[in-house]
Formats: sequence, structure tokens, C-alpha cells
Amino acid sequence: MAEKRDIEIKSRADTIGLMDLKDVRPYPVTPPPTYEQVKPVYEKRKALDFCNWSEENLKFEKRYGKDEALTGVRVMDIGLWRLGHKFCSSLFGESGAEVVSIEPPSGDPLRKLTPFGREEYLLQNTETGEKCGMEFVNETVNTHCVTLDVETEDGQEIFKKMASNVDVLIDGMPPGYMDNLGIGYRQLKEANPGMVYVWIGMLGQWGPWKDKQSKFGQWMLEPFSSCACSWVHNTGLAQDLLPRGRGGDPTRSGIWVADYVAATQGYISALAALYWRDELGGTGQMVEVTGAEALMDIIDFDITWYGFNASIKGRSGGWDPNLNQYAWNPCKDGYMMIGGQTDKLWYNIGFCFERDDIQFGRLIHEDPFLKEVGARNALHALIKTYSLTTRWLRDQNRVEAETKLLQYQLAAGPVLYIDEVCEFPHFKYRPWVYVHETDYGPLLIASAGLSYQVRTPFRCKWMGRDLGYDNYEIYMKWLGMGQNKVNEFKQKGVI
Amino acid sequence: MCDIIWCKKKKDGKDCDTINYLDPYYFWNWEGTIACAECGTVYYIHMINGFMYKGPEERPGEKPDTRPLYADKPYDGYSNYRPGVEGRTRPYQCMPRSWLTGTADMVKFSIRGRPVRGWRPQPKSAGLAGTFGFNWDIQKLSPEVWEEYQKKLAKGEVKDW
Repeated sequence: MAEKRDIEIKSRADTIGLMDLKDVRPYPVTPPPTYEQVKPVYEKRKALDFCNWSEENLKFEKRYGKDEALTGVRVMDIGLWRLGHKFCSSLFGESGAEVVSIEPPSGDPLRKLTPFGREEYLLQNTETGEKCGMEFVNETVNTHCVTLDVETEDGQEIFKKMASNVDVLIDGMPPGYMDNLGIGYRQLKEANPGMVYVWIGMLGQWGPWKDKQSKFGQWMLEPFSSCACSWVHNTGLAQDLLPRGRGGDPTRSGIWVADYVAATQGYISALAALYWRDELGGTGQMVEVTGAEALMDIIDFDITWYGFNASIKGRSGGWDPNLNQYAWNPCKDGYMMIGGQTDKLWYNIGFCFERDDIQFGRLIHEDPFLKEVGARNALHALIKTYSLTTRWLRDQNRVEAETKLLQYQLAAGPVLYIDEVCEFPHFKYRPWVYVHETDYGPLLIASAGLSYQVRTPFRCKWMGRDLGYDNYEIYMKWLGMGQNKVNEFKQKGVI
Repeated sequence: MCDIIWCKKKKDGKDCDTINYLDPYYFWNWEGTIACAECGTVYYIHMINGFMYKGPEERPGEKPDTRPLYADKPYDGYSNYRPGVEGRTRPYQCMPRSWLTGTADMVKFSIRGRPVRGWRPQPKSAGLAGTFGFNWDIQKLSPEVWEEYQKKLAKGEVKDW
């Protein structure tokens, strides 16, 4: 039993010693706020009625009793290595569709991916002892894990039969791979004209760069698509703010962001295609989503700016090039985001700083150049403003800075570490972060992105599964194939 | 004093009185020498987590490791040195390309060679987003454009379409 003791957490430093002691640091370290504590917040803006209604209708605990929007929709997913098709099928799974994820009998290599290749970070099934990477488990939500070797003739026959009965087929294989095997969209639509076929990849199934791959035949995975669309070039500190090699280099996103964005666009495209098919008398169709293009859709105005006067938008790290102040800068115990670009807020920031740093107003507010909202965004104005802002911040930890800035009605928020995110009272209350019971024991997870819905919220029912866990059930349910037949195919290496 | 170096060095009988801003990411943890953008005095600084652990100490005769990105003079109407001023401030490679920082081409004639009223860029007299009045007598208001126009007419460079 965990030893209980009183601790006072003032900053992240106070929690570090607790992290190695699993028994002493259960989740959550501090209990979520109670309704009585939250009620005054609701009352403050006269929102008690509305917030009560929202809690009643949107709260986490209510979701399992509600309907699922895509009940009855059948989705099949095939792919290797990538997160795009997996995340897309998870979205279908979370919204109620019956999703079958097909892997080769040897398993998706993604199952073996683990931070720094360390086995101790693999999750272990509590019953069977099979190990699986956290990445795989996190991105296979509510999907049935089935094995099938589609490179064998028998496998292709089985695949065709299964595909003849699905609404959506998600393909995460390399460009043209499925078509070459005779089980791509062109062949499958003969038997199932109503099928929506979603291909999710990096650069596309056609075009001059479709086959870019290494000489060993490794096809492109994230982050190649974010590299290909300037996302990576655009991320990180400018090399003039930190020299190359000291931090001012192009930086990848902390996650395989293009996969997730492409997956979301694939999901949306498939839903629109289903609506068109079912409600407007259309047919099935093929949808192609690429990570690079999905990101190009959201890289702000960079492309337009290039077209406008050939400017290449430089990296500016935590500094927004369009707004001053609107940036995070280093402080005593991390990084602090401060926002306030209108005159009122801009001067409020200074009034706040001047309580501790009397020189700030002299150097910033009295500079005639900085009095104009537009002029303040000039590069040198950002350098000047943030140099002096950081002079104030270096004496403050994030809590102090936030407290002081909020007194001046400013937008201020700390850059949080993941342990702080998990302990964030707001997220714990809703709760965005919670402990879910899985085959791998209790896992701390973030809620499904679309869980807060009055009628048909998304929900996580299970995460990850052993390789081929659902073989018998799905082959029986979808094809009427009995256990003996499945075993026979297993012997042959087809399943 | 940290994060800025307020240079008080005497120069030509006057205080230099220039503030050299030490931009936060570059100098957060940094040790080396930096030259004042105005008078070139070399200072040694050692910064740890944003605090000036040592310095600024003058290091006459030493070659500076770097320069600030920006410096200004509050007692001289906030006159300043912006990034990329040679020999004063640190270069900033993310500046627009060289051919974009030059003077813009004056556009006085349309592609058909006919004088246009909305020149680009607009002269200062046009004010903010200004236009000239509807009746714009080129000959009277812009004699040099009128002359250029006459030459174009003579050469047959003016087309209807």
C-alpha cells in the first residue's frame, strides 16, 4: 500500500523526487478539484446555469451510456509502420464503427517501436505476456487486430471477400502496392461499388516523387512529409537567435504530426463521402490524402507570402512574427507564454513588469518607435522587447509570473511539462487525462479528441491488442469461416 | 545590469550611452566577449540562466566573439542599430534577400506605355493609402513624366492595347 504523506508542490522541482517512487506518487498526486471548488468560477461570469448544463450533458462519465454515431459502419484498415492509417481507423473506432485492422502474420513493425529501443518501455499484456510498443497501443483504439498475408493468393482471396462487405477501406501501404497485388481500389470496386477507399500516405500515389525511397526499399514515413512541405524548416529557433548547432536548426515536431493531420483529413473525407453516397445518391469512391499536402493546407500564409514577394518565412522560435508581445521566453523554471498586443494589454505588461523592474517603462514605453502597434512587430522591436521581458522573467518562476500577469488581465500561461499537464486541475476535472483499464493494465491516457458531445461522444473502449487477437471472431463474423479453417490457414502462414 | 549592456564609455568627450540588448535565447547561458555597437568597446560577460554571473568587464584589445542583435540610445532620441548592420550588430540571415531590400522600381507607365495615375511606390506626398485627384494633369503636375511620355510617343512605344 502506498505510503501517504503531505507534500507541498510549488514548482516542478518539488515533484521530481517523487517521480522515481511509484508507490508514493500515484496518479493523481493531488485530487482533482471538487464541484464546490469549481462553482465559484462558474458564478463569476454568471455562467452557473450553463456550466451545470454542460457538465450534466458533456461530462466524461456520461459517454458510455450514449449512442455511437457510426454504429453499423464497417471499416477495414491495412498498412504498416505508419500512424496515419492507424489514427484514422482509431477515429472510426472511437465513433462507433466496427474496425478491423489487418497486419501481416509477423505483425506490424510498429508494435516493436519503443523509446530508444528499450524493452523495459514496452507494455506487457497482463494475461498473455505479449509485449507491445506504447505508440502502437495508443494509436489502435477500438480496432480489432487480425492477421492476414495479402501477398499470398489465399490471402488476397480472403481480403477480397472481406472488402466486398465494408463501407470504408483505409490503405496505409506504399503507393500502388495494393493495386499491384490486384486488391486495390480499381479491382475491389467491382465487387463493392459503394466502398469508400481512403489512401493515406506521405507524398501521394502518383506524381514524380511517388516512389521516393531508400535503396533498401524503405518507403517514406513521417517526418518526410513534414520535411517536404517546409513544416520542419519553419519550426525551431532562427539560426540568428541561436547559431546553427546550438539550437537554431530546423526542428521536427515532437510528434509525427503529418500523420495525424492526414489521418484526420482522411476521416473527414471518408465521412463526407459516406454522406454523399447514402444521402445524395452517390456511389463509393477513392480518396487520397497525403501528409505533406495536409500540412501545406495549414502552414499559415507561408506559401502566399512566398508568392507575394518571394519571401521565405524564417523560423522565429517562440516568437510570433505578427504580434508583439506574443511569445514564450525563458524564465526561472522553464518557459512562460505572454500575450498582449493591443495598446491596452501591451502597456499593462509593462505596468506589471515595472513593479519589479523600474527600467522597463523607460526603455520600452518611452521609445517612440514602439508606440505604434504595427511598428512593434519589426524584428528589432521584438528583440528589444523580449530581451527586457526576459530580464524580468529570469527572476520569476512560472507560477509567480502567471499570478502577477493575470492581475493585469493579461494572457499568460506557463509552458507545461507532461507531468504538469497530467496534474493540471482543469484537465483532471473534465477529465481530459484519466486512467483507463486495458489489456496492458491501467494506462494513463488522454481522452478521445471528440469525446465531449451531447448525443454521440467518441470513446475509448479498448486500446491495442495482441497480434491476431480477433482472428477467430472476425473471420467467423465477416466470412463465416470456422476455427478449423482459420487454423488451416494459420498452418499455411496465410493468417 | 544584465540582459543589456548599458555602455558608459567615454567617446569623444561624451558618454557612449548605448544600450546593447542581449537577446534572451542566444545569451541565456553564454560566456564570451561582446562589442558595443556604438563605440566598439569589448566586454566580457558570463551569463548563467539569464543572470550576469560575471561582467560586463572591459577587455580592451580583445577581439569580440559576437555583437548584439540590436542596440539603441535612449538619450539620443532612441536612435538605433538594427540587426545586420555591418561592424555594429550581428548579421541576421533571415532578412529579406538582398534584391528585396533595395529601392523599389518606380512604375509610372502601364504595360501599354501609357502614364498611370497610381504610381508604385507612391510618393510621400500621397499620404497613407492615398490617391491623386481624379483630374490629374500630368503635364502640369508631373512634368518629368510628361516629358518621358512624349519621348515614348515619339518612339511609338505607346499602344492602345
